[in-house]
Amino acid sequence: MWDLFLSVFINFMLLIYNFLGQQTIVAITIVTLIARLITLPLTLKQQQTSQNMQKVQPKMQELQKKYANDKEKLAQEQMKLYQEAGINPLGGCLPLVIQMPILFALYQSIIRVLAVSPMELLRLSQNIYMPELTRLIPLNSTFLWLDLGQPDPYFVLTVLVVLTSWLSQKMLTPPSTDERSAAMNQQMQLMMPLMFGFISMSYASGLSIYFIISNLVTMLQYFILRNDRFKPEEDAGKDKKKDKKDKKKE
Amino acid sequence: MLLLFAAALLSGCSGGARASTWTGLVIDDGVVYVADLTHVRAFDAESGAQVWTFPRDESGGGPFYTATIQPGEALFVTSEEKASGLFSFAQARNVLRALTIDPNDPDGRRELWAFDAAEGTYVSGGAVSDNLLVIGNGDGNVYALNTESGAMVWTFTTENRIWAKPLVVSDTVYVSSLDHHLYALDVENGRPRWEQPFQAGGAIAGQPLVYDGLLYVGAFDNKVYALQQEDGTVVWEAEGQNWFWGTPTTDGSAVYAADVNGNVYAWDAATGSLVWDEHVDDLVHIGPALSQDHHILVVAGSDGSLYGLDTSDGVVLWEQPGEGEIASMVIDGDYVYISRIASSDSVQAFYAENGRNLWTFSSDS
Repeated sequence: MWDLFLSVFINFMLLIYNFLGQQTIVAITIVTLIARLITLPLTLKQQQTSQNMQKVQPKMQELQKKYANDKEKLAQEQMKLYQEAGINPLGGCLPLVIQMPILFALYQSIIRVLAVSPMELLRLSQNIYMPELTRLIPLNSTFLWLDLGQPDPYFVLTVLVVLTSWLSQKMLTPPSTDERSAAMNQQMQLMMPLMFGFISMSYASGLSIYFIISNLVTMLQYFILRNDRFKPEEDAGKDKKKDKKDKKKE
Repeated sequence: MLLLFAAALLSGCSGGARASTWTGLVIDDGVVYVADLTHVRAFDAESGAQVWTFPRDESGGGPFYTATIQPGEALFVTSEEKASGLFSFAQARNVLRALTIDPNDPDGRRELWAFDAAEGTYVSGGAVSDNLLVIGNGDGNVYALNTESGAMVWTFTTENRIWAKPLVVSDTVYVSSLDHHLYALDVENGRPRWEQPFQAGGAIAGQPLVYDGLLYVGAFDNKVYALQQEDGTVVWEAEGQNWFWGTPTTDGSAVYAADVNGNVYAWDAATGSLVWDEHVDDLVHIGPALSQDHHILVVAGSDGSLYGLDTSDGVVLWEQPGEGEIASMVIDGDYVYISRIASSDSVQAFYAENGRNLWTFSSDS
């Protein structure tokens, strides 16, 4: 079943490769963009939930303080708060879970069409359903100084992966008023780009192209759909300034 | 969630100590030589007793992938090693080594020379002609090296990776490339012998077979071609259901080949008309091999099973299941020798007649 799903991606990527100049980098870019477009409604839903969650954070903290010693009551009040705000608590992670198979299939199909090792190429033989596409194998994997089946020897893509991962993480991570969450977010913002950087440094650079395109799309989505996400932080900043002014007056 | 995703990516990529290509096996004078990832090993072909290993220490080296024998003289092995340097884990160094195989040598397996100029992976071993080793590489080049010194004599560049073992026939070497071509080169200087290389409709990943003035080669366009050895013109072509990867084999009257879907075919060697076809439930990337008496056709499945087919009608006479991908197969005398990856039973010998196990070398022991 999974192989069938994967084959859809692979054949589609090969078709794009065939019709758009037989450049693997173009095929990877187009398929990544299309996959992100397909998952856009889910991404939006997830972002919406994340924003709503953020809005009720102050009230949530109040509840946590108020019912610190009564877990059952706290859970009830939290559910009530979610209901009042029209939030589905699973609304944040459910779209991500649904997106996962698509992203995994995309990732695996990139690895497979690049077919760096004989084993990967043998597996690829089971995924091509249109015989006329087999004449394309192996794909032209060179682009500028890169062999997309190998890591970038000059680490240019690695730097870009780390940079775009960090930026997209920074944009997407909602500001937290809770100190522990803020510290964790900060750690994640550092660790994730480094981890993706390590992957980029060690594996096929075609995968790095996928990471970079994906991060750029995430950032683009953020700019297009930008909303009052950072307002609480700005407000908090204003409040701090106001406090300082008040103290000076005193 | 993102962490989970990244962890899954990492595990999918690395998955422990995974081989990046298949391991090779050669036989000479009653000794089986195997490039068995961590070590190059030599076994007594009859008993399976380990004669020597290279390197000698337990931790080994490599990983070693291919082996080529110069009978009585040297063993050429290739390995994909970590390059030295700040970001060494990202770079691989592909090394071709010449080792002594003299059993009376008190130093054991001495390294005669090493060649590390190739930039791609060695997927198959080479061919030896007099004092020349001809070997293809994933960087698209064919390298001809002096067997005594390792000095490069000539190179020939194709437009894609070379994953097949070259075939030397008298003064010509035939080279298959994933660039869809089969080249005929002068073994002395690497100059093309045919006016045009033969072009198939798909990549060519397997070594050709030569018999009675004809070359037989399979391609990724689902076809096996019979070509004139002299000029590469097509005599006949036959079609399967998927790619042909391994080298065909022949007993003179029929040509046998298996496509990657496990469909095994016998065609009339002269005309290409179908004699019989049979299916084994396995992926097949290794060319089938004939038993000494030509009655049994042994087919190695990538998933680990061996099959013995009757050459007269294709009926499966025996099946020997096994664990671990079969990486290479050689028939010598009455026995079938295989190497496996992703299995502790990394080298095994079987009777070609009935598939019974003769001996097994377990790398865990």
